[in-house]
Amino acid sequence: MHATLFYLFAALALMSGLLVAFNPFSRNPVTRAMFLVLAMIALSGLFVLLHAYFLAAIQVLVYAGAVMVLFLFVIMLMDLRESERRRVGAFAAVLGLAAVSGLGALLFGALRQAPAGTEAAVGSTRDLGRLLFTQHLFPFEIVSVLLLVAMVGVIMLSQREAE
Amino acid sequence: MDGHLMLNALLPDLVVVAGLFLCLGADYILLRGRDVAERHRLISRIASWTLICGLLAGLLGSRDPQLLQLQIGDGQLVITPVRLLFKLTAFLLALVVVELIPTRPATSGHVSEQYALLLLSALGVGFLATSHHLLVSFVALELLSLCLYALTALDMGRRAGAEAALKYFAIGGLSSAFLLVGISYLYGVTGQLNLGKVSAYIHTLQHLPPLLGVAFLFLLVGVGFKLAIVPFHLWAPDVYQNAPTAVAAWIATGSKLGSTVLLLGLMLPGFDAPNAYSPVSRLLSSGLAVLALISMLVGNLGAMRQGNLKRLLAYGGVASAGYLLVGMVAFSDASRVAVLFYVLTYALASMGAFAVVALVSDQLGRDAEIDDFRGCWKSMPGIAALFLIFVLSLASIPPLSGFIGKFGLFFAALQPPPVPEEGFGGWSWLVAVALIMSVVGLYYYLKVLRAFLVTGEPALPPVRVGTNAWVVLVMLAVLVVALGLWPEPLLEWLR
Amino acid sequence: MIDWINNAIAGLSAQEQFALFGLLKILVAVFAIVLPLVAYSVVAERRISAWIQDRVGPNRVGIPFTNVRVWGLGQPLADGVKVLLKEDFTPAHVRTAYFWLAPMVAMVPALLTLAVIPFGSVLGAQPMVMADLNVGILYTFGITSLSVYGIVLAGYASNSKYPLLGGIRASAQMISYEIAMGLSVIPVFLLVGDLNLGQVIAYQAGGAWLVFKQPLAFAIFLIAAFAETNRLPFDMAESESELVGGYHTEYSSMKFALFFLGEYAAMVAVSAMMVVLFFGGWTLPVAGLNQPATSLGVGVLQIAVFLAKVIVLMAVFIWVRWMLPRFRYDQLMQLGWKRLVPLALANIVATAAVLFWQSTKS
Repeated sequence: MHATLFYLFAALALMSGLLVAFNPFSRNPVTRAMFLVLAMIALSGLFVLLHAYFLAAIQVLVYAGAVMVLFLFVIMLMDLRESERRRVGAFAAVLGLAAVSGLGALLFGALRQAPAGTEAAVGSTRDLGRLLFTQHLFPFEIVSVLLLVAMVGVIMLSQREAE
Repeated sequence: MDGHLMLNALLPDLVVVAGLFLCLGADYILLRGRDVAERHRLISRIASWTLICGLLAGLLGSRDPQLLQLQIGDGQLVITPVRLLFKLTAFLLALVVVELIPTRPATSGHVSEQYALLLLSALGVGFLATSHHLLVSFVALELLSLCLYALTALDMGRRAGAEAALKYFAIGGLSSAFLLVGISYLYGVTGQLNLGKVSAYIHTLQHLPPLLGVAFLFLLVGVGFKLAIVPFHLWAPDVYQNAPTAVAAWIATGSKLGSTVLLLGLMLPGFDAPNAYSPVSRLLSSGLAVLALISMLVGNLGAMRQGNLKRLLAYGGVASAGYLLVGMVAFSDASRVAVLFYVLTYALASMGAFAVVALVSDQLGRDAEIDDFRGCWKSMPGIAALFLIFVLSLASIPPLSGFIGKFGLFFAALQPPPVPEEGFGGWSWLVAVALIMSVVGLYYYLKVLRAFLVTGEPALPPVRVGTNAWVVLVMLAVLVVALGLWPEPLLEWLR
Repeated sequence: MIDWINNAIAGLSAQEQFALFGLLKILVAVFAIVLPLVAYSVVAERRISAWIQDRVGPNRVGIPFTNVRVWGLGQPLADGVKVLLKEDFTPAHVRTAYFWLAPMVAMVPALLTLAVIPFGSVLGAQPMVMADLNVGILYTFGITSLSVYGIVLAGYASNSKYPLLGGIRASAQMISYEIAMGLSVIPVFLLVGDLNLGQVIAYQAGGAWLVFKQPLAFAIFLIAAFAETNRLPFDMAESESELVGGYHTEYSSMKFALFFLGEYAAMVAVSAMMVVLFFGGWTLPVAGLNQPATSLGVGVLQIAVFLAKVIVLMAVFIWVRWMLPRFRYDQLMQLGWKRLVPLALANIVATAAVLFWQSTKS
């Protein structure tokens, strides 16, 4: 049961991830965004299988529910049309293909030799919070500064002129 | 975690955070509706005093022996003399950039945001320099990078600026993804986030698992993007050319300092102490050698063809990343010292060169073509003399610090391998190529100097350079010369 | 008969029992409780609005094929037959796949949310909650955050001006108020110390309802709930006086009905959440109803208490809709970001400070 669900969610995540990058049926940006949503939801399913419920919920809440809605918002607001079928030069295509397949083969080979991980992670909200506010307090605080950067940057870039 | 000690150690950063809120607050509350030039005047004053206070706080901290060997939170915050030096150098360079930000109202109505982002990115470099922990390093690198993306697009009126920013952002995002994947694999294999413990764990392994190789490959790609190593350098020329020059200067120096520290932390087991042989070198040294080779080739040959000064400096930066890797391939203690010394001196000289470009061409609204600087010698002899020093240091002409730096790198690469049977080290062929490429580098840097010093009538009217700008320029030049004539104290400090 | 059922159940393994009762709970909760509740809330909406506006409202439809009128309670049947028999028209200019997808996406999240709501204590040995998650509230927020896709996709799929505007407004509005909503419940969990909704109820059973301890949190949650369900005074996505019908302008027949029902199902879901979070869930501080049921009758009574509370809150939703005019879009955003979010943050800090003070005192 557990394994079946894992393969189901993993396949779903991979398939929708692929369909985000190159979808042979549609070049519509909204379709891509929706497949990304699907990939996020599948990932959240994988988190559930690892008993990391908090991360699973946050995955849906933040990525599927907020970030991707903003993506859609921007796509709709800017009225992005279906992207033109771009010509990729033969050189670039060969090089890209070689890089991707090389990387894929490398990963595949390496992961096949890697030892299996432990099955269940401990991901209770309490433990996570405690870890975040004690052991990893410093990076956590840096992230808050990072959010400040995002805020200041957006103000600077989005408002053309102050007055 | 000792809170009091941590606060003491973070005092420079806290000063900078306070200062940046002061910048934003003053701009939003006090200076609402004032003239842009006036706002620039006050806010840049606040920003530079903030950085000076941060520097002083850091220097005060360096007198406390307890602070100089601090390890907090599993390597999340490590302060040693070398790391403190890098952090304070970053603040110093940011101080120079503050003076370079153009105060013309034409570019943007956003004043305090520019300074705030600059201060924030200086924080990022500082955190990178004082971290020996993958998580903190990643977050700090993101802090730095996000600021740089936004700053690149500062000049929203220019399409090219926005395009460069977008390119930088997309490629930077990709590189962050690579880094993150690499970090998670590394964590998966070793179960550690502290870089010291990671390499200690690797030492205990009989044979290296292939996943470790993949992890380091991803990490190398990620850092390679940030350092503009070929083939991950494609963003650099466009970004350097189209970003505001002050920002380009900061990308070329601050970002480079931070990324180099991260690269060294990843590649060498001990960042701060003399260290012996690193086991990952078996995996990586030939790969690094190839990257070094193509970076030097592409950087130097690319720079020869450039007519734009900022593009030329960008390709020069790519080439310098190649030289850096030449020093790295030996994975010895000598290479650690050499890389650190080189990146410091490169940052100083590069900042100086960009500063001259910023002061001269930006004030006149030019695009910094080399021809624009024709005959600068006649109209602005002082500036031209300083520029001569910086460019000669970049071209590594003997008495200047650039030469010592490059010499150290090549010397490190030539040293016999620490573990002879492993068969690496002694990269004489690589050093030979590097020497040839240095001659090529000499050619294009001299081409720039010829425009400045020799050719015909001045193309530009003289530019008024403020006192502060003079002070920072002279300071940089003095540092570049002094480190060339008298490198021993710094080298000793780095060891 | 009862014995036979008991024996049959005892013969099953724990997993099979879980599956059986889980399925049973889902079927009963959705088809016997939620969908009728949704259907009758539509009638209630029309009757209450009529009453507020001094009209009569739909009072004719009674039991089919007879002359018995039970105060118009047969109305949902007539409505259902009407939407099913109307022509399901798909305009030529729409993006077909999304046009079909959107109504489904609009309906599903509201029903999914109900999975973690404890709607009663126990019946026999079965806890009256479909999935007793230890991150229950986060789950509900996660699912609620997906409900915006229905509206956004409808706006996009319709491929015409007004629905697009409605969809864009909805996405901005719902994300903004989700933040206020999420922040508003944090004090609740600071007090309770757990994210499990059952624990929230247990906490309230031992003391005062949280609406009295955290009135500000409840006020923010309630306001955000109006925005999240796209109800007046925040129905910017529909806004029939500016946007014709907003996101569902191009929809007709059963697809339109799904949006319509989805809105009411979301109301049921958010009311149920408020009952659990702020009104003590299935508990009532009289006659021993605060404790988990020991007999079947008390168990049913507690479910009834829960439903009664939900219905009262639904009535509030309907009442507010007919009392307040619509906000302007900028006013809506101002209220969300400049009032509710800072207030919610202040509430968190204040609650944490009080808790800290109490912990140092003892």
